[in-house]
Amino acid sequence: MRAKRFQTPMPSTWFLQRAGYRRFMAREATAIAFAPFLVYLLVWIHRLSQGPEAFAALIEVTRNPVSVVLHSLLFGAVLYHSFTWFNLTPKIMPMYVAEEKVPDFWAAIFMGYLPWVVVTAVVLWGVLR
Amino acid sequence: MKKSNEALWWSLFSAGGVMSALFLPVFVVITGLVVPSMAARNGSRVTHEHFVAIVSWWPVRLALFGIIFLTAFHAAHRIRHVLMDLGWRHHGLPLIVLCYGGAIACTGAAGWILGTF
Repeated sequence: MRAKRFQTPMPSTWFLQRAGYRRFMAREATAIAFAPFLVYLLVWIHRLSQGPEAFAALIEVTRNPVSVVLHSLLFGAVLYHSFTWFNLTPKIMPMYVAEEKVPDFWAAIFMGYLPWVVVTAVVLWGVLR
Repeated sequence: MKKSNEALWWSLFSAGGVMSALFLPVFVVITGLVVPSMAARNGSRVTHEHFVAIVSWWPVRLALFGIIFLTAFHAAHRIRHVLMDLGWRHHGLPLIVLCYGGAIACTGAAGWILGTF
């Protein structure tokens, strides 16, 4: 029989104790918002494939104030994820040019923010043109 | 040493983190702002046919599939670790089944919806 493992008592609210822990948990919790958004995105594409009436009904739903509030909360979560992700990228994957380490600020610009601007511009152009 | 799948989950998490950081903000703007404010107007260019034309192009469907697949595994990994940090550490297997099972289901649904579009 294996000995019982010793467990230090740890309340599940441990992350509220410090500002750094709270920021960590906020960053990790953005993923909880991603799950319903993926389902919504799939429903959206499925509605689109079902014809103009189904799509028009979906548009009506997205004009509801509840949808506007949910989209705003979601936008906050995805933006927080993007900023924290791009800011962490150079710390996990340092960037070197001619064996010289690129400062984190510029590495985040080149590996994160610049591609983000390009992707956003291309997608918006594709939808709005 | 005990064999572990963590490297696989972590690389999917990482790839999905990049994809979601790049694409999700603009997707939320489209579904939450562009479509409700523009598509309902008469004479709008952002119509049902317009979106069907975009999604009908196979590179767009392939990109959407990749984004949804990787984002699903990114979210699954993070949610699993959040729940572990909140004290579910000793329910390892049910958590793995729930989180990555959800991501697999989401990927399957994306394959079906985009594959039959």
